[in-house]
Amino acid sequence: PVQQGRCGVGMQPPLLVVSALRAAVLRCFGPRGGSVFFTRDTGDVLVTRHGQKILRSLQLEHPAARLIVDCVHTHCQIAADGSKSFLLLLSSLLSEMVSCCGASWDSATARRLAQRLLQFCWTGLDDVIARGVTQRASSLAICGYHGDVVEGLVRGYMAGRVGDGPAKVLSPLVCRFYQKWSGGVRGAEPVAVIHTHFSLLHTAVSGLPIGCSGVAEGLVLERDWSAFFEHGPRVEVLVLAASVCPAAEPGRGCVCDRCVAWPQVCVCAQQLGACVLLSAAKQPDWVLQWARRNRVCLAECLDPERLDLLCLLGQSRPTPAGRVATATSVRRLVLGGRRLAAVVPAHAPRAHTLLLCGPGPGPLDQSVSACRGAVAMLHHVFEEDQSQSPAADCWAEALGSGRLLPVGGAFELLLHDFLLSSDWTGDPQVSRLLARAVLSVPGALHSHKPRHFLQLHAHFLRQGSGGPSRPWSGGLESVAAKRQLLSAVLQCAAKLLTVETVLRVHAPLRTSRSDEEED
Amino acid sequence: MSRVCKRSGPACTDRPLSDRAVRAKFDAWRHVVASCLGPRARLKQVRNGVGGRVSTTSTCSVLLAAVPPSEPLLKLLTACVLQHVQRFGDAGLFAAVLGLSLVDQVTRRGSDSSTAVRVHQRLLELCDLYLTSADCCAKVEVDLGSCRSLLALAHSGVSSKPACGLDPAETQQVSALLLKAFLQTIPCGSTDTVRLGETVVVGVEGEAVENSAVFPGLLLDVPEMLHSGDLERLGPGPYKLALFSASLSGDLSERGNMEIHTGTDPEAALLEKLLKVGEQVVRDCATLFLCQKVIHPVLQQYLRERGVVVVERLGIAMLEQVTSMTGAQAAATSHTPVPAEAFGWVEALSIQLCGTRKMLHLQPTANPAVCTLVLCHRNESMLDELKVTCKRVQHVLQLALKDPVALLGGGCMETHLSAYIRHLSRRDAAEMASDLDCSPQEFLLAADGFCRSLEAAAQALEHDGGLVLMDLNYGHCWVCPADEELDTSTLLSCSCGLINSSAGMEWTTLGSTHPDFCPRPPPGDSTARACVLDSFPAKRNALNVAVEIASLILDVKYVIRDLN
Repeated sequence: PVQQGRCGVGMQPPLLVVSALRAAVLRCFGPRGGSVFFTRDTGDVLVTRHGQKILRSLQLEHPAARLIVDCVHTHCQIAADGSKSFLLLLSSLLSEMVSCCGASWDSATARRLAQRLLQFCWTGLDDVIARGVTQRASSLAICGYHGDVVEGLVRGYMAGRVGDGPAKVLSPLVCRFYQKWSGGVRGAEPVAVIHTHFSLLHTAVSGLPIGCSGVAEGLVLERDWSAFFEHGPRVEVLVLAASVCPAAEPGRGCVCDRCVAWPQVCVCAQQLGACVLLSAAKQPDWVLQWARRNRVCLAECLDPERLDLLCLLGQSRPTPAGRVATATSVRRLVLGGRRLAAVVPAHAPRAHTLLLCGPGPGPLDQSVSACRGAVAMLHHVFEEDQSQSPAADCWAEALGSGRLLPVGGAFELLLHDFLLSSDWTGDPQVSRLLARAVLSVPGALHSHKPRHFLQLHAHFLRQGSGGPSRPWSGGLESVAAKRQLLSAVLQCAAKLLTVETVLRVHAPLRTSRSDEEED
Repeated sequence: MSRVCKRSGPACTDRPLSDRAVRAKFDAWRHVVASCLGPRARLKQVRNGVGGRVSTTSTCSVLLAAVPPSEPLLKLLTACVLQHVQRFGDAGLFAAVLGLSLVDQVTRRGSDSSTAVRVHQRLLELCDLYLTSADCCAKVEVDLGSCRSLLALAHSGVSSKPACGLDPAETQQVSALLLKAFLQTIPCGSTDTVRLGETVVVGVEGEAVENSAVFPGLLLDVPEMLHSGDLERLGPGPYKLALFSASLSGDLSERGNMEIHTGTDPEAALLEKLLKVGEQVVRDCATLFLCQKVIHPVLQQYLRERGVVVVERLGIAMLEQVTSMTGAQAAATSHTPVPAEAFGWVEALSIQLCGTRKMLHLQPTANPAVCTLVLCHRNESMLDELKVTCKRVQHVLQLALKDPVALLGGGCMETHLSAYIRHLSRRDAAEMASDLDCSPQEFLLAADGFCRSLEAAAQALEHDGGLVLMDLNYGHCWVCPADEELDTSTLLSCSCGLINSSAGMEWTTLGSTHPDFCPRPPPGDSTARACVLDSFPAKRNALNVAVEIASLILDVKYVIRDLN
């Protein structure tokens, strides 16, 4: 039953909603921004600069707002970055439209405009970026870039996600983590592995300053050894999935199916010389006693997923007692009074774990999510890059062809200039709207010093006409991610414009997907 | 589902630190924390309006855990400080005071917080660099060959907690006992990995502090049925000891899966099994029979009749101590006989009277690095505080063993560091400002705030209205008592005791403007004189945590509170 009739979706309500959202994220936009602090009466706290998290935590009710949040979410799933720029761009695009059309606004105009935005998005955008940004960027300052590209990308990302101090620690850390995994060879594969298993490849330690963070060799198991002995350079590791049951009478087997029979464990340990037992379940006390007596390392109550990853990386082989993998070393890490077990699988010498420290749970969560985001961003950039030039194996090529740009508004300024120049002969109204809207990003970045913005703009104009380029090193961002962002914003704007009526219903909506799930 | 509540939207606060109510909460909290600092601290009584325990304290870990602030930003700070204390045991109040002062300095000036955060981070790096460098004058080497500096560390730790209610003589005695207990936990003999033993603390209420003592080995509560005559009958030691971690109560419910044949009484069968265990232990000539959990009364009776001393309900904590002291392996099952290597040894058994408590004293055979500290005090509240303090001091001493360096206490480290940073920031202002992308004025303003916050931490140590001074030679902290006229000739030595007053020295009140100077290293012969020392790792971590948490709080531009 429809409770309420029409509630008009003109231009004004979405614009108001977007402006309100923009105000919330603008506070934490760019390297000079601050963070947003969430609290709940239950005592949960969250400190973040992550645009998507902020939007999600706001728990918005307004239909337009929810539509926007959905769009941001979809965009972030693909590009892993740019949620705050999204809102900034969307807000200035909508306000440009309103100020451009003024009084002659009705639903027909809106539809037409939406059509043209989409048209531009599908046909013109790639062309604009190829001619306006990539080509010009390749002949611009980018030639003077010296420094590691991965580090540049991470630094550019971190500046928007954590404060200045943490960024200084975390950016090199994430790069080191990546380098350890990649072993100096560039490729998308190690990033994909880190990205998929990030939750298992980091360990958070609270109570220490962020500067104590580091990268540890091998996989850290988040718990201490129940029994620990130093062993030689090569050891066999037996991974048990369940607790051991004594099975007093041989030949009769276990009472229950979910147990591992003790004699099998003993046989396996003896035959293979396994002197490390890792168990997902708590083992009975007498197993611990046996381990101590026989100088066997034992760790219990481990995360099964971590054990699965260990077995995967260590190329384990199944035995009647459990899976067996070879390790080059088993260690005990001591971090600020906390002891953790660590295992280096023999078949994955490049496996490393990120150790993140923070003074308390709030800042620690922020670091963890920033590192996770940085890895996701790298993953996206690597994938894009590989799909564009699969043969390329050095970053210089990516830099030279203009697929990477310095952070701080270079992309937006180049795009702005091109859209307004005579080289571009697309839809004039859309071009003008977009050209004005994109300036909002560098404007917000340099809002504390407007003079910088003008200087930067002038600098780019000069370089476009063959000005000198200085050598520099700083944050980088990927043009592909920016393109993705622009197309997402244009589509979202078109969606907002094409909705005419919002119907409020009380019965739950049944979508085809939820039907399938129920089946 | 009875009813559906409509979700209410969140409450948002823009720029929380410019809100007057929030600022007032910060100020109040800063006052509470700062007044707990140092040996002349104002005590806090924590009690719940509906009844329950009342505790009198000035210890960070107790106070912050018991009093949760209402302001979420302060909650964040408290949580971080508690985490730090958990790791390092000391300097929690210092971290809280410094963090709150940093926030206060920036908000009071109304300067740009992101610039201030950058400057703070930069100065923190300088502090860290200076503190870890070899020519840092705010730290002294801890000579592990003599007790002097270790005793000074322990003494500073005990005397800085006035809620323990100790007079100077008692403070001295407790510090000495703590050091003695600590030294007993260091194992002899050189193996590759040294593992420190533990001190078990036993509190006895209603006794004079002088009766506190350290015993090598362990003290257990004497079982009711044991008499001193039983021990005399045992003959000379050493005694064999059997240890069980499994329950020997004979309860069916604790057994899990079992098969029962018809016609047998399961309880009788179990008891028979237990008695078999007892029989074996007696056959193996064990004199002591300890169990983590409950022992069946019949088994107890059986063992006692054969002259075995039985102690049950040890608890898991004590079980670990017993295993490490006696070398026994706790048997986890009563099905299999106790193997010969699982028995442990005890040198002697005696009954000690600790005030009103009768304790069974287990003396170790070799050097097991386990000892028991019996702490006596007049009332419960003071005893609790004393116990917490002793834990802290033990932690500090352990850290000193790892890294034998200590920082000057009494506020001298803070003033010295502040003078040093002030000097550096003035000297290199232009260079550092351009590095941090701000103007030299902004940089100097933020650096001044940083130094003033350090000075505020030193100033917070004085609560009786005395005047806190800093000398312009070494940058140490001096206190002129309130009831005396300010006359620098009456000053004898600085707060940490390292510097003696001499002719030609100049002083300035802390927090006032003074001519720029680079603090000099103390005269060469005096390093052994420092009598107030703080833990180096704890304080260094506290400094880091304080600046980081202040940065985090200053960074918060928007607060969203979920009201659902």
